[in-house]
Amino acid sequence: MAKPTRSDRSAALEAIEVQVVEAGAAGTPVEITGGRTKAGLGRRESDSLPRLDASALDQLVSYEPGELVLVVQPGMRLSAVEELLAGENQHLAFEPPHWGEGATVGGTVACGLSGPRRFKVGAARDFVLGIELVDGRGERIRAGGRVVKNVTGYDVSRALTGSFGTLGVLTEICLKLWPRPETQATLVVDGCDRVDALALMLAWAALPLEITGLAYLPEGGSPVGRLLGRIEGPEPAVTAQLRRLVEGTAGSISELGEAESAHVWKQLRELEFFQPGADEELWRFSLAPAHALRLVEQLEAHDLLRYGLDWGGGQVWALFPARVAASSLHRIALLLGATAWRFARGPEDANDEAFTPLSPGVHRLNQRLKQAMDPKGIFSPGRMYRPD
Amino acid sequence: MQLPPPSQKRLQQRDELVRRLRKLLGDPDQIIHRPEDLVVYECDALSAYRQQPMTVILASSAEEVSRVVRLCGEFDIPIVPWGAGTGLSGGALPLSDGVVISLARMNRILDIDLENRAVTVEAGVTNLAITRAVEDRGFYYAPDPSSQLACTIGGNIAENSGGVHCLKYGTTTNNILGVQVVLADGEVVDLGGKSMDQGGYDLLALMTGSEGLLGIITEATVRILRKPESARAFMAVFDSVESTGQAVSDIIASGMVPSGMEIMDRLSIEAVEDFLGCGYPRGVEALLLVELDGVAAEVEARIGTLETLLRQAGATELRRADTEEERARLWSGRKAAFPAMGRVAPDYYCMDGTIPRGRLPEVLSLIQAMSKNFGLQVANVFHAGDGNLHPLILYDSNAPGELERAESFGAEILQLCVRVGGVLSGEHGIGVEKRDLMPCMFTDADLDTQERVKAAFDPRQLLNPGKVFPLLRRCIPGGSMHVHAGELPFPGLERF
Repeated sequence: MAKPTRSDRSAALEAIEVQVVEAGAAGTPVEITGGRTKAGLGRRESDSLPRLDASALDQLVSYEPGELVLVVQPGMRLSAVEELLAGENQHLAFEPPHWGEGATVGGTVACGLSGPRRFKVGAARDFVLGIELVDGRGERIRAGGRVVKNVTGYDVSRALTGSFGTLGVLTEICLKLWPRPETQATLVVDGCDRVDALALMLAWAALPLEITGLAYLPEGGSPVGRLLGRIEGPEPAVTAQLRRLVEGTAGSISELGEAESAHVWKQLRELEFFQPGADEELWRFSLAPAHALRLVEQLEAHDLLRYGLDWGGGQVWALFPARVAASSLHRIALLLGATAWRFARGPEDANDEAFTPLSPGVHRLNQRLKQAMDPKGIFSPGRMYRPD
Repeated sequence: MQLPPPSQKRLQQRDELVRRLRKLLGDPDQIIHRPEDLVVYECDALSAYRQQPMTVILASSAEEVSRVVRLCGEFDIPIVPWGAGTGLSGGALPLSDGVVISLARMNRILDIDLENRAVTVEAGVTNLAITRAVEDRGFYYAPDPSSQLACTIGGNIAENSGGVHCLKYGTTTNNILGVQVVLADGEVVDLGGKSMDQGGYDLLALMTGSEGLLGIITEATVRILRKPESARAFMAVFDSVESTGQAVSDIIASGMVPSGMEIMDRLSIEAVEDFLGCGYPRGVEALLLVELDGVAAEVEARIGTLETLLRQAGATELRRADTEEERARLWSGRKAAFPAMGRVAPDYYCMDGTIPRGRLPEVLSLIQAMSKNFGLQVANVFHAGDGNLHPLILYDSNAPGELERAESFGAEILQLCVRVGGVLSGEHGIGVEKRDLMPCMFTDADLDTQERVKAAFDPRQLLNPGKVFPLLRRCIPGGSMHVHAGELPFPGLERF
């Protein structure tokens, strides 16, 4: 049998390979970019890093609905992909956030972003089956495959997911798809105390029901708020489950039908409830769901302005006054086994402490992996952590 | 099949190593080194390859694993991590100049956290023991490899084990939240935890399916799920494997995701009926088992659609399990398929490629053609939902040349899987078995990358060397060479 080759060539692909090789030869780091909708994530060492723009790689490679598999180039717009899949009643189940019109599949995978359904179905990394990339040597390599079950070699595809463009340039991405639930509805409990809300979210998440969204939005400055629980599936099943939840719940209960339900979860996914005002900054914490309020209480001692819970408590969005002591917030995260992201306030914000520091051993492994994939350190070497 | 040649220097250090290990561990029962005791550790479940290690350590804590790893580093001795030895690709095959570290004694359940739907266990806890620990409260651990009664969670993570429910619930990698790992230099690190994301690169993903080459897993935090309130099983009979494959595609295209879809062909059905008499129809070409699970109202809403689809795809008979007992009975035949084959032929060789579902009919007819060419029967049972094939090649190891023919046949099947867009292994791992086929799927540059990842974790190549990566970078047609005892061209060379 012939050895596999990577013979397909396009001008856009070659341009990327050339740029990587040249950057390596010159020892000049580059920043891989797509639609520029996730630029607020990660550190920004200097805004003068030349860009390596992958958005010209925007082609659909293959879509076979019967296989529940999609292969695209990274520059393909997320909105275009979603439209394509909707035509076959399929979707990206991890519900990736867009945060702007230009959002691409590549940026989504590179940032490892997942939306409200994450706690039920898995994260972006769980839906990445395989990738092709150009590594720091300018070599085109492939990892993973196009099938769900695969233990052939190290899972480099998942390691690239959420690497913020620091390990290689994604040139092709294979994603697992899922049938789109027939319909959805959301149960709303208003005036819900936060302790009760978290308890309900934990209890509901443990029910054998198709609850695919669990969020809590406190009303500004008050100890109560709105609890949201989304149910998806065939119409009769959604109705039956809603009825069961309503029966066991006290308080001011209402229901959102399909359109309203879809709208509110889109608002949550797009961070519409958590837009920082002038002189505010946005943080995101990921932690064991049951610890959510313990975290919130500690953040309140550090000038927390507003917050909201997603993922049944596993993801906390929080707004602070600008220039809150980032290291203090990261320390709180560490003590609770959480990991935090600080969002840059704008292009001028260096966001030096964007991510919670890693333990020394894990940090060393991160550095060695970076070195293995990008020996000359040309892909945004300081995007995640301050280079030593 | 070759492993890195054993180092005489290492072999000569054996007594000194054992002496130091005794001092380090305290309990002499933790060190196995007499040949008669080492027999148990000669091979994993790929028993065609056997080799005794210098010694086996039964570790009782991560701290001990770390100390043994450091000592082995000092002596430059390679290490093979060992769970239950149920692996099917030779991933736990010992090295004759190496040490096996068994995690089997580390079998404590450390934390059951129902609020966070997470259970933390030591690496030697069996897959089924996790479910047993939480099932009275209505929870379970989803991945269910067929060896789940015996296989350990550490081994599951090392091999990224699957089972019959992967289409809906994913494989091990989708069900793990965190691990504690002893690295090649003895350092103990925690990757992930109870949160849904970890900081930094997804090293947890790299560790899962790394086949013992990147670190020794000593502890795991797994995600548990609430047991579905309803599970309904169906059996549909078809007059060709092709139409069975079509039914599978139609079901997926209709927008439902069954928790399991298994196909068995004529040879397997007959064997299972002879073995178990579980009530499968005789004289039929193929049958499809489908299970829907989830919210009762949703399952009920889908039953009608499923039955219509099965009939439209040409099902000649349809059975629905209406009771839990009937459901168990329908599955019992599938679960007995492997042992049943053991009665049809003296030996069988189980393959594990995955293909895109749509290529099923084509691949199955090509496998039948190969079966004629090789003069060996093949039975097909497979996880049709996720395209994971398990052709069982029947042979007799006492008949001269049959084992080698079976292996060549197997290698051709795997190359076929790659050719149609699939992969070499769906859930059994590469190990030594499929190592030399890796270049059929990956270029030199791809493999270089993988080896650099290996070096990032284990620069001295002391963890499970000789596995996963081909010693020679070429796609060997006809698969691996197998050397049977006494038939070696160079009997003095270490081969297995």
